[in-house]
Amino acid sequence: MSANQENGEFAPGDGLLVIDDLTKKFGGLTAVDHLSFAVEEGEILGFIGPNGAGKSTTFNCVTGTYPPTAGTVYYRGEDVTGEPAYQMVKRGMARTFQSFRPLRDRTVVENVQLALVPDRLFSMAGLRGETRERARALCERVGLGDRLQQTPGELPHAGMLRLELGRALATEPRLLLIDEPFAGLSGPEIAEISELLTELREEGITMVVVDHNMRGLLQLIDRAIVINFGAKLAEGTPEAIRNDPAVQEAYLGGEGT
Amino acid sequence: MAGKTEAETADTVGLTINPLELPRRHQLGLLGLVAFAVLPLAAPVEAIGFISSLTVLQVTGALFFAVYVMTWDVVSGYTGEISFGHALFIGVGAYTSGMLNVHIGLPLVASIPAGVIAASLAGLLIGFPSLRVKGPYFSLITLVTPIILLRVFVYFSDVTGGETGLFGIGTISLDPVTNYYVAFALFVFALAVFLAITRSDAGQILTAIREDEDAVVSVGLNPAKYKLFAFVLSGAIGGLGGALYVHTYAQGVATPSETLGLVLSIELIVATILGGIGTITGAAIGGLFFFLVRTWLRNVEVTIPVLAVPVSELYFLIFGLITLGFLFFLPEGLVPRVLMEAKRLRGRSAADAQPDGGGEP
Amino acid sequence: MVNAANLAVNVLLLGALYSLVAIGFTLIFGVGGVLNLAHGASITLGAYSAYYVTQAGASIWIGAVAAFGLPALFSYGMYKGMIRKVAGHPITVLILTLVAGLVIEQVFLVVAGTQPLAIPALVDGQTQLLERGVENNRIVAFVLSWLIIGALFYFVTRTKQGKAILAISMSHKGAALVGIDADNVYAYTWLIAGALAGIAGLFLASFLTANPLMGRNPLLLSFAIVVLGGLGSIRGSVIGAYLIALMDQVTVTMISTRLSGVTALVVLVVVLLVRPEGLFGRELAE
Repeated sequence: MSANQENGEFAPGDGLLVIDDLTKKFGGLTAVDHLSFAVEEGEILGFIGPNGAGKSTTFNCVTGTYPPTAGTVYYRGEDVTGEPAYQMVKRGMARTFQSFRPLRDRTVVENVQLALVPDRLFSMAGLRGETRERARALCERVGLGDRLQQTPGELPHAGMLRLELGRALATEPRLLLIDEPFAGLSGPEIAEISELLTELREEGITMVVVDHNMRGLLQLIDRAIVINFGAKLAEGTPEAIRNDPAVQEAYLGGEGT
Repeated sequence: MAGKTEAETADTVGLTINPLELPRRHQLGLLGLVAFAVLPLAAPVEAIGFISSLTVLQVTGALFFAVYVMTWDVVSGYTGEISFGHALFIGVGAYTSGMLNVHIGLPLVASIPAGVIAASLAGLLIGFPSLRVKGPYFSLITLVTPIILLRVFVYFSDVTGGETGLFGIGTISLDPVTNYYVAFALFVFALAVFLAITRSDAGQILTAIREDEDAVVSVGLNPAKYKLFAFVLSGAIGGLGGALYVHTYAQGVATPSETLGLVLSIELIVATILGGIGTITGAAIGGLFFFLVRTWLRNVEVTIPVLAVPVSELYFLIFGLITLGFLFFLPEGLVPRVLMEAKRLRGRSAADAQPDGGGEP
Repeated sequence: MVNAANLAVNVLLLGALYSLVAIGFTLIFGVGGVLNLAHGASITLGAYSAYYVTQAGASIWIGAVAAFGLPALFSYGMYKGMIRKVAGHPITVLILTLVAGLVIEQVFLVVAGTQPLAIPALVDGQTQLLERGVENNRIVAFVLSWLIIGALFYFVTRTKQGKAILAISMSHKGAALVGIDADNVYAYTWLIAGALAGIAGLFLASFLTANPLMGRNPLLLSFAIVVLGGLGSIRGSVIGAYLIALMDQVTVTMISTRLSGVTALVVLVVVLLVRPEGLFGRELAE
């Protein structure tokens, strides 16, 4: 980290995604409080904090769901603050939803297919065999190869997560923001998903994983940022985080390691 | 519903479609179109007793109505933004063309496109609130906009003809058979356009918007673009229908009740519910069916014994009750249900299903 | 020249009547999230109930009770019999209430015919007010309306059942947590709304007339009123009702009677686009 970064100041080029002095207020409530950090290309960054710490709000500001009250978001060196969410996806920043949002009126493979459809009013590309093939391949990539024709209603919890990932992957992201993937998963399932995410990293995708439960996360990530009450609490390797007294205090009596 | 929208192999999506290889229901549809195409020719033939020139007139009206119903379905059935005032586009198209023709003497070749453009703009105008305002509130806006327009029309009745209507508009033809073919051509055109849109990628996207707009955003698509597209398209064809209606079937008369009225807007919704929301073909069939049954009911000579009221006055009540029944027991509509039952009876597997962008064709 | 005193009297009275209608509408929306497009039917039912009761020979005051009670039962029945079953599908509910309202109109058209019917006044005679003769009936209607509004306000802020309504309209989950039975609350909200609309219908009919389509205009105005006042807010409905009544009466008397309702509807569209929560509405919590 440069001297500037240690002071909490980040320059646009410090990483694939750079958040500089991000603040988000809802009326009188400050959900995100002058938050700054950088995501380096090729890493898996953990974004950790107790419930209500402001993780989802930060996500939403970064991905364009709503603009921040103040602060800047840089993606690949460009200022993309406040750009609409669909635009961010086109730039290569995809996200999954914590409460999954599959399209329930169609099958798994059709869900992924939608992400492969070109953004044009007049197009038949999605109906061509080639697109079907790509969708099928993506489903297999995320472990849904044997569930292609099922509808989201028939999927188990882990399957819905895989569908979220599959759909996000179909947009060919360089940066993938994953919102609380491990909630509701069993130990073995967490290991499987972690393995999948590590494989994706090998393929060149940078990831930011949010979770409030550090248990499954610390093995997966390279680095972590801990926030509480909207502000950065700690930053560093999983080891450093685990032993950080401020972090331990924040999780006192909660879901610590 | 699994498998219903699975794409066919690359061959069939290509442009050569062999009628003999189409699925049964497509064959039936084509047969139906052919039957409609030759209907007026059969009219004078005595042997086919029930087809008379009155029937030609009625079917003409039914064809127009079915076009209107399809315009409703492509917006409300597909995007899920429920419009309670779709007659607006019909009325704007009809009155723009009619007024330009009557007051400025603009020839129909120019006034009809003007009507289409005006109605497309109306579509855009109604489409914008759908981007900002949530479901029921948007529906409220669609409900009151035609009412506002109607009352403004009544206020300016020297220009618009008020409640009695605008008379003396130029016509394309007064011959029932010619008018029939104009209506039929419009119907085929609208059907083709709407089917092309909804069976292409746009159809998948529109139904996805209906299902979960945030999910659509998350795959990098801008829902606003597609919603506005649906509204403008709906407005354009609705306006074209309204203009042609006034210049043919309505014999040069534009009345608010036939083109702008709340009852018309509601009838479009009822017809789509009966036929099947989000299918286009269901809407077309529902529209034809609704109009013909309504006409029949109006002409029926039966009187309900206790109330001493002729059935003809009760038609809206009857349709209202039927709609309520459908909403409860058959919400997906008649056509999808029939197709589902047929498929079940034939024991087809999901893999044989054909593509249709979001619902059974 | 506009007669200011006449205008004032009309606005005062109509504002009160529209308040009754709007409050019911906004409560149903506040608690259940339902835009009850059949609300106008309750108005019509109220008027016709009173009519038939007086035709049968009873006094108009009995008719008033009928105007209060029958629409209440109808509204309650609609909730229990229809709305509750499709509660999870807001689109279906909208279409359902719309069609139900139209069906009721049709029933009255068929049964009672299109002829406007007169309803006897509650109290006859006139009183001198501000150098004008004002019909006693109007004064009685005004006073009664405000008594009802006052009673309603008391009910909602002081009684347990009333407070439950407010609680649910603020947060469904929160209300469930404190053990409020939502279904029960919805049911009597619909009941109350029907009663209010019914009595408003009686009053409206007693100075205009009763006809099968009489519920339409007040319903349209109610849309504008509740959106302007803020969905779920009683205070907003009353203030909105007076604002809309004023705007509408000014338009009708100064410009043209043919533009009745237009200003209100334009206000509706503008408010929805600019400030959807209206004057006193809240962001409805999920």
